[in-house]
Amino acid sequence: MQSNASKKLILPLLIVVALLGGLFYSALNKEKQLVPSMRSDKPLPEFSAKVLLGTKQVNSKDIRGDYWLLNFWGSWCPTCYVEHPFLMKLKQQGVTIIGVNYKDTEQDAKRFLETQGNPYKFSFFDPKGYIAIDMGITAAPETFLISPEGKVIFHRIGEMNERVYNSAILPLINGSN
Amino acid sequence: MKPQRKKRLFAILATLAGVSIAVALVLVALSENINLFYKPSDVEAGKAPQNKTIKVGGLVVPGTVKRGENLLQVSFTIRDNQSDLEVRFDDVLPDLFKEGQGIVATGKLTEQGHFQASSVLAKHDENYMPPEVARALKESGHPVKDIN
Amino acid sequence: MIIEIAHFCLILAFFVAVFASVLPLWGSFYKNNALIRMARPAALIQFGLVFISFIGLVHAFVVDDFTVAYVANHSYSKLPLGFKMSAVWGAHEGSMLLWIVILTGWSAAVALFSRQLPEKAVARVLAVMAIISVGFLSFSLFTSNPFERLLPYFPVDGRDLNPLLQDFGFIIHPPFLYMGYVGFSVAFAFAIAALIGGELDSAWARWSRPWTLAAWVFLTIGIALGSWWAYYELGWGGWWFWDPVENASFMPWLTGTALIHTLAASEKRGVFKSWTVFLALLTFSLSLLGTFIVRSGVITSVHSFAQDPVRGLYILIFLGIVVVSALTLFVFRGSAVKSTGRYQLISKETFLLFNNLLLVFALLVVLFGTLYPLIMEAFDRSISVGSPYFNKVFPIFVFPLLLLLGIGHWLHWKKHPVDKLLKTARNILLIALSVLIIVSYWLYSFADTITWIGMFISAWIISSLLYDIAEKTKHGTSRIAALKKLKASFWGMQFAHSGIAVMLVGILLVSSNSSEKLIQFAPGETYQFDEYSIKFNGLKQVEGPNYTATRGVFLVLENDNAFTLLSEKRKYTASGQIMTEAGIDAGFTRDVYISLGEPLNDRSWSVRIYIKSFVRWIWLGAILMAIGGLLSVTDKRYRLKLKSKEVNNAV
Repeated sequence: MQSNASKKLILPLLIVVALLGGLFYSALNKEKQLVPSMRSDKPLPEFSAKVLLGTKQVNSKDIRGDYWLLNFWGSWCPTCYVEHPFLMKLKQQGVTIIGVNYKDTEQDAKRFLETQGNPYKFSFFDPKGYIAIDMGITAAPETFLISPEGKVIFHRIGEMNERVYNSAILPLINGSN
Repeated sequence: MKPQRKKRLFAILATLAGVSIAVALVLVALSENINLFYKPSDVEAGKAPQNKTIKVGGLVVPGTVKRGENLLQVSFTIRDNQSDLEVRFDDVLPDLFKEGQGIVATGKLTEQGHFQASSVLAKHDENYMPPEVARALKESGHPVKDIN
Repeated sequence: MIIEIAHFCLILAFFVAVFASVLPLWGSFYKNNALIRMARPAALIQFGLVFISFIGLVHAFVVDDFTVAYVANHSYSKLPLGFKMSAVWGAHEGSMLLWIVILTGWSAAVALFSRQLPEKAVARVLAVMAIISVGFLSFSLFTSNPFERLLPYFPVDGRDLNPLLQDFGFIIHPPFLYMGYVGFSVAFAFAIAALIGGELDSAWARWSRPWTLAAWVFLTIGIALGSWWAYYELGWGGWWFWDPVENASFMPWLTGTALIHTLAASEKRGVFKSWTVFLALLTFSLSLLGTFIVRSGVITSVHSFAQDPVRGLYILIFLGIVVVSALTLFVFRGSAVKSTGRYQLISKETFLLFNNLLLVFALLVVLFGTLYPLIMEAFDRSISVGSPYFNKVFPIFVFPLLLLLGIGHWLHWKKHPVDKLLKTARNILLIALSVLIIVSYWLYSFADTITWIGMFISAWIISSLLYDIAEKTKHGTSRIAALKKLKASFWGMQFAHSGIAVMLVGILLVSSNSSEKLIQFAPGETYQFDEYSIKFNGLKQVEGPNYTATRGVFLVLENDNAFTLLSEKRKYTASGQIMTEAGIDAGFTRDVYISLGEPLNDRSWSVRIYIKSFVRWIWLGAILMAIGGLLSVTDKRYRLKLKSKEVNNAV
């Protein structure tokens, strides 16, 4: 009797285990951020800020062109040093990168660009993190891919590198051609 | 029925009754004590109920933290990508609370349209290195990175 | 260089673990004694290698090797030495390494202290534990390697350890917790080995009992330390939050508690055998589930760790493999076991059954409350389950459990005469009620229904324990002589159960009889709070090793007794993080707890004052439980078996 009973148990038990497994799996891939990050096909929010080391005010709506990257960085951010050489490489390949200098001082940011090189067409200066709020980011570095129509089509949290660029960003750019 | 069987039947019935009572209790308690989470844009869109305990979350907009007449009362604005929401709180803000940082507040939405919080929780993000670190390091004569 | 050696040792340990998980098991099936005998040395070598690698990481912290990414992220040159060492387990990678050290440590302990067991059984147990360590070693090496270097660019100084974790409580809390979590892997391995061998006699239960008890003791202490740490370190005097991370450690504790009870029944009476096996599997699975919840960040928690889907996925797959294969094995092999013992309705067995049922219900309450947000999330609804849910539902299962406890522990096995039971229960009830009446004059001023019920239950448990001692020492020449004859496991039971009663008093009184007040307070002012007169004696700037602090000095007058409390608001230099250090005067019946809020204007601060009634009893109760568990582990019975076995072998 007991042996039958526990054999009968296996199906419900396995179903419960499978359900829990599915549940955990789906939860793993959910974003846990307070502010939803920019997802596919949302238009780039409108923000306007002073450019780093300049006086010009730029509005995000005025940025036109082909595909471009919006990269949040700061001289205080260790990972930004790590990804920097790759951004320089992208610049040489002709990729447009616009930076947002995030929670930094102009002096430190300037030194960073002088010593590390400047991969950016220009950088917004965002010492208080207003743009960060608009874009829903919490840390640096984070990088967005913006389409020619001005839509955010990819968001990378953390280091940008060859692997991510080739596997996630290039297909998006090439796919539409 | 054999007494053995009777006993077993009784045991099964008792267990079943116990389990169903337990499940019912759990479900009732759960339905009364879950807090739904809303973003400021949900609140603006009228999706959040008034006078019911809910949670809201967003980033604290820099420069909006203010104290009321009674100094123990504090208010600040949180924002998601689209909307703002004013949060009022009559208690000590958590240590991790900082402008520009994410918070989750539990409390009620009032008829005046602001959020009266009973607790505020600041999120500590391990990926995030606050700029103060770099500054402190530089003040003590260290560059953040060995650039050479 | 040391880091590379440490890394290399960890890789080596991985290969040793792979061999140790296959060969002895193979040997046990094909009767190859050479392979079987490999199990013990392999376990010891594994532990040795992992330990060297752990020491390597500790060394990197001690010498401030910021070329190691993990050190750079979680240490700081000005961090005091003790915290540098505990920073090793301050974040994910290092705590996984600690996990593995402890896991291999338990295997080594099994290898060393189970000489009396048949070689074949030990080989299987160690092989199962090696399989688990393969899982975690590869997890550590592939997804969370603590030995990665930051070269060529590395910071000159570190980012500092999270200030919340710079505290004595945190130095010891995780090791204890992991000792408990991971310790259940021994019970798990014994169960699996028994299932593989099809030898589910009571020997299995006897062997794994001391190990399970030891793990339970560690987990009990670990959870209590966590609660104590949260109490004084988070600055608002809460001691339990029903936070997912806390629940993750509490769930295996519940089933572990059920397990140590039912192991006793399996061993002594040969009943509930397959249920016991199931509980052993469940308990360790819940430990793994806890690891998954904590490490993957799938459930948002105050203790939020950075979320990494790859890591989460890895543990999830591992958890899935372990659970599914254990369950399958259980269903196909465990069903062969027949419980041999017979028992009547009124017997210790029945009460243990209820104990187990109620504990499992309590587990389901916690599990469901913890996972419910995830379930709703799958339907795109973002919710959280508040602690009122747990506080409301949990007593519904725990109060009956504790009521039955007051009877179960003194019942006879097999059959207890009903008339005797009623008589004893009546006597205990009378004692409990008289105790309650004595304290009721005081309770009356604040107690709510729950407090009344709970205080009665506590009195009921204590009375039944004392009554039991009185009964057991009635016969014989003198009481003292009879007391001396009582076995260690009896005292273990007494201590553990009295711990429950003491903890219950603490929990009830701290929630019903405490008071708190938030005030605007300026230096020089005096505030009268209940019978306490609190004077704000001013603020000082203090320099710590790696922080600067504003320290509030408070003079508290309690009746004729005066003492000073210091509360600090610290700002940690490296991270800029602010931390509150509450000033606490601990007492047997109350804590006075003052925590500094924020500066309100140039003169006054917001200050929070708490009087926490009987809060220490919560941890006192946990200490008593742990002592109880330890006493049971030391029971002669486990060692006597060893001797008689040795005699047999010698003959």
